[in-house]
Amino acid sequence: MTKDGSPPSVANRGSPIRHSGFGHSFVIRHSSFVIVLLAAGCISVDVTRETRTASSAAQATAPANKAVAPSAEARLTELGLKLPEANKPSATLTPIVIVGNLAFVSGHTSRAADGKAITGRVGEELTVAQGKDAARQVGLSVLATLRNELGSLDRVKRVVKTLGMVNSPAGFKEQPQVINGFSELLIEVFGKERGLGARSAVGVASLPGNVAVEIEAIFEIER
Amino acid sequence: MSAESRLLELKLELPPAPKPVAVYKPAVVVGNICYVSGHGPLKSDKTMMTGVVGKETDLAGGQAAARQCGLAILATLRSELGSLDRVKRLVKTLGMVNTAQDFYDHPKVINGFSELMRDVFGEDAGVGARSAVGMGPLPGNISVEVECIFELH
Repeated sequence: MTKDGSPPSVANRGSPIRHSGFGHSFVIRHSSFVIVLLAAGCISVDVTRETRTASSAAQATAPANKAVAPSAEARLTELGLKLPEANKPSATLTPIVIVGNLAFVSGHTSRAADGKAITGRVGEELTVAQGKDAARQVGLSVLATLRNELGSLDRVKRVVKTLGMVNSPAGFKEQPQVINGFSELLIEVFGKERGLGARSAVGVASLPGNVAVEIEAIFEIER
Repeated sequence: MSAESRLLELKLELPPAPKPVAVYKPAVVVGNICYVSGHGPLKSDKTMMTGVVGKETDLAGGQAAARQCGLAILATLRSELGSLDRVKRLVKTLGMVNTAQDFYDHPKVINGFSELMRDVFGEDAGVGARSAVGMGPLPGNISVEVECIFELH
């Protein structure tokens, strides 16, 4: 529970969660959508077909000069972003697992461009701005992992869900502003439509090696 | 070798499948994905392993607690699925360690869980994406809580 008693699932509103208990509110719009489709049975299948047909028709009649969203790889080049070396698998974890059209990305910790860990508690040893930079660095690491696994970031359809964990003391309330460093990077690279997903931003008591930020995420990908 | 045979071979004793202590289900299956709730280190005598890692218990105690969370999760999976052989692979783990503020070895603690999964499901299917973090406090002052996602056959 949060300190002010608000439900954990609205963590982005700014209340630190020290722990989230046994029963997590695990909300993925994507899987809810699947459940809705399943529950609706045959009718939803028909609707999906109709939607597909309609969308193909719309594509066919779309004006040829309509602006096409730039590819994520092109955006990366345009922004002059350099990705760090991708995390390596170890004996007990792998940086990413693909199941069907979903990519589950391990918690990535904050590292500077030179590979050195960005450490310290945000709101104590680090400012919010420094925490935000650390979250952006985590984003670059996650992009490196995605590219390493998928071959190209252009296979990413969208970010589905992010869990952003900030090493912060009790009383610190600006976890969302910190994790924005990650989310804004994804929007820069994938665009607002595909780069904005469901998200939780929480404060945690401690992180491995005293890193400032750790973020895990789920992406939808082209198969 | 199947996960159930590995369990026998390793002579692992599963605790009774934990019953929910609040308003949630221990596991929910959606299509071929099984979402497992946060599990504590439940022992066969139905008590939990407690204590802040790095203060009230040491690294080895934390690792044993993480492994016990894994045994409880296996009990839930078997209870939910009928057999562990329905598990295709471990997809993702969130390992939460009840830590003192200056404890930084979360990955080593959660290895207690991950090594058990690797032993039971194998080096490919038993190794997934993972986050290891420090939480404080955890319900009932348990030392470790682990939630995870599995892919099913």
